[in-house]
Amino acid sequence: MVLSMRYIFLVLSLLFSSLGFAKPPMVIDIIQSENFTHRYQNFLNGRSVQEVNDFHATTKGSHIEIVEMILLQQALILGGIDKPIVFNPKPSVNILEYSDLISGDSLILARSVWHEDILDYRGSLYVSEPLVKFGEYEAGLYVAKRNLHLHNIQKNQLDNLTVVANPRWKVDWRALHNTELSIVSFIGPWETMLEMVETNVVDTMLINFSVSETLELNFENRLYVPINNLKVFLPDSRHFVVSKRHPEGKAVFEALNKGLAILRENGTIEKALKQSGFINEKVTDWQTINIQMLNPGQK
Amino acid sequence: MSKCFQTFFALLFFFYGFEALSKSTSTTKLQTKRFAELPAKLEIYKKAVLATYDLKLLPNLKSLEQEAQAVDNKSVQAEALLLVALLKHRYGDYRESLTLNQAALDIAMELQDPGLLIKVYLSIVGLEVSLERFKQANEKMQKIDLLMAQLPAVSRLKAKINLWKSRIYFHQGSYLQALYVLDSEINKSNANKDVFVELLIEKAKVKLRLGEHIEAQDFLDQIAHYNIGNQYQYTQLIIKVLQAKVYLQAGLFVKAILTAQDALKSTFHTRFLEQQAELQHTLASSFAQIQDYQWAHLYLKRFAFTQKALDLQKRNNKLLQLEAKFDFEQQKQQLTLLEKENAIKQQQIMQQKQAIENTALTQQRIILIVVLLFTFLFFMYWRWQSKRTLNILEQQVAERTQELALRNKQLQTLSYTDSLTNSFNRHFLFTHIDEYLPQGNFSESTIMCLIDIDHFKQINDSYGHNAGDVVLKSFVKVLKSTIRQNDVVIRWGGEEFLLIMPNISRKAAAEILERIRLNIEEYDFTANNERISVTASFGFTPIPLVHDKSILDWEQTIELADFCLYLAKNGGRNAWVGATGLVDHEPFDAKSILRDTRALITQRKLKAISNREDIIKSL
Repeated sequence: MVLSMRYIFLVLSLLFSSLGFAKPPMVIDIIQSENFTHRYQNFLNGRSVQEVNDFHATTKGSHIEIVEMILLQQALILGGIDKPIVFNPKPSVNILEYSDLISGDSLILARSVWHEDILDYRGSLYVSEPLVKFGEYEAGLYVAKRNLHLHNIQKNQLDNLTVVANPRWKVDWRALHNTELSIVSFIGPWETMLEMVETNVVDTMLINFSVSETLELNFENRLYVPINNLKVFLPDSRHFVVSKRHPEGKAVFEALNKGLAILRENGTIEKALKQSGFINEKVTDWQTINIQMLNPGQK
Repeated sequence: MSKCFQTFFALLFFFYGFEALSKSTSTTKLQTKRFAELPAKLEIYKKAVLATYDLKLLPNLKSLEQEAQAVDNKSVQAEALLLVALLKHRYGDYRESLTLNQAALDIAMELQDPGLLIKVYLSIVGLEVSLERFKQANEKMQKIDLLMAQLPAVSRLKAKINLWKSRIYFHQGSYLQALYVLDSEINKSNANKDVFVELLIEKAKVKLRLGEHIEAQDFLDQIAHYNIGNQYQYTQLIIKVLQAKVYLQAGLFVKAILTAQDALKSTFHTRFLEQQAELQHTLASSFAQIQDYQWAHLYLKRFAFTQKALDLQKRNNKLLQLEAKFDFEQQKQQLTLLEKENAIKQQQIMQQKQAIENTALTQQRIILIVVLLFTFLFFMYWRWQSKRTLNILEQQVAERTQELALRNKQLQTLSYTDSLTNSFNRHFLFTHIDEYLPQGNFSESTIMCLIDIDHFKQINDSYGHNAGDVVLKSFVKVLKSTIRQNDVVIRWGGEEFLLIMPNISRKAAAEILERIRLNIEEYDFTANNERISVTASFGFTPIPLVHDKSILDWEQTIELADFCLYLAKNGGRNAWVGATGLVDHEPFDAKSILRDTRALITQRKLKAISNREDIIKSL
């Protein structure tokens, strides 16, 4: 079922693009579990990618993935790629992540990646200028809304709290290791981690700030709120990666960097990150509990 | 004398001291030599351990420790313990390593040597970091920070401390903090060469973690420059690991593979598992990127295996620690519980003691109060009793006094009374005359009247003495019934009476005397059933004789009254005569009045009155 969907999407993309342009399309790989095609199309709502200049969420659920897909395309176009761009959903990664990129079977990924995760593959991958710079990415410590006593915990009380974290999410893992929180390690779906918070197995978990007005997160009718006035910054930068082995790799990478520079320059990136809630202005004044990782000399 | 004794004792002391010194010299010398050799020996062993981490060194280290203990060189003993601990740590015996560290810590604590303390803490920090127990490692670091102040301004240890700080940050994933600490230390560049190389290695590591492989290569080049002649296996290995990583990030996969494989060879007979795992991972990544998936897969499997072994080791040690901690907590809990129980029991005992004390105190108080009460009651009783006795005595005394007074009065009365007639006697007169005489200005006068029963001798003779006595009694009765209340009757002689009438005029006195005379005359005197006719004669004189003048005293007045009585008798009896005054202008003295009474009356110089004018006229 999933596979047939994927082919229909690919075929449709090819069909549309071949109608408008004579050139072969540029294929961007997207991991199937992160295939947000439906919401992506909804967000575009018939507009072309270049036309998008308001990044406020119009659909429910995670929004950053869609914004990244749009920013990537805008950058590529601005960088001089004049081919039609299509997304190619792929099943989950092999033993070695990014192996298709390394081998040159894939050209580029739709999503940005943590720098830390591709360190060993720098020899095989072009790493773009950061989409999210070091220190920009902030997240909240979400607790079950009914646990009122946790809502206004202070920084110095955090050592009494447990937080669930996935050691494979290295950046989250590192960030939390530099707080007073006691970490409960868990490898598994995000939803299960949320369930652990819900059932008081742990007190809290690190989640991107919600775009909702109250920062409240509603997941399957269960409500979660961030601990007031406390935030965690994720100590890494996020980048797009392009295959070095792919014949178009170099050109695409150069175009991408050029485009990203333009987007950065004209403030589109910042606007997109802010409007999509990725950089949440509501928590600007909140205390960053692992700030020492960003400003080492500071007491 | 005392000086002599002092000198003697001083000599004695000196002699024995010398004896003792000369005896001990040989053994002390030997010990001193060993004591001095120990640090040098320690340095050699330290270098050997760091160079090879060879397990064969363990017996030597142990003997060094014992030797140090024997000559009481605690500092060397502690460092030997640390070296053993390092070896044990390297070979995965974390628990034993921790115990040895603790022993070294005890010694360092005892010595209060900040340098040694820091060394021990750093050793423990290394252990904690291996077990990813960063909180505990940071706690030790805080202790070290406090001790730093006691270190000399320039100390090799400071660089070492910062090296470990950066290592903790690195393992915690706080790369910027690690860099910050490293940069501050590297810029000082006064560190010992070995430590400096280690600092550079750390920095290269951090740079690689940040993906900055070009800079990492620079540091590796620097290390190569400084590290010539370094014999430390471990350091060499680390450098190779890093170099392989740099090649990997730079995309120089073949170089990475060659370097890593070369390094991997040197790890097989060692316990450098972490480096082995890293190398295997680098190899897997490199082979994958040159699309030699077979080798990549092989090394990935090997990596997974090594990593699993490492994780197991960590897990086991963590579990052991958890168990130990749990046991300790439980013991602590039990201890706390016991302490609490003890405290409660002690409190109860205290309370009981208090209660007993309180009861005793209350009892004492009650006893005291009772005693006081009894004393008070006894005192009150005593007072009451004595008062009562006193009262009785007083009453008795009063009664006796009263009785005595009564007796006295009775006696007095008796002594003043004529027993026959119950009138006063002469004694009364002599005692009480002053009370009846006019006082002060002589405005009033007292009448002194002598009364004599007429022909009393005849009565006695005719009717007997008894009848005489009856007459006398009746006579006084009549007399008393006629006179005023304040008037006094005194038996003056046999049948003669003196009537004293104080505060009376001459005229009133005359009237009373007349009434007496008449009452006597008319009274029925009866004796032996026979009526006896009785009359009486009266002679009286007032005192003072003349107003406002005291001429006659009372005796002389009575004498004058006696003369008047004589006149009354002489004039025929049953009459009264009174000399009542003198002519005012004539001066008289008492003597002349009493001597010439008759003449003075005749000459009317002395006024005389009588119920019978004829008596006066007949003079």
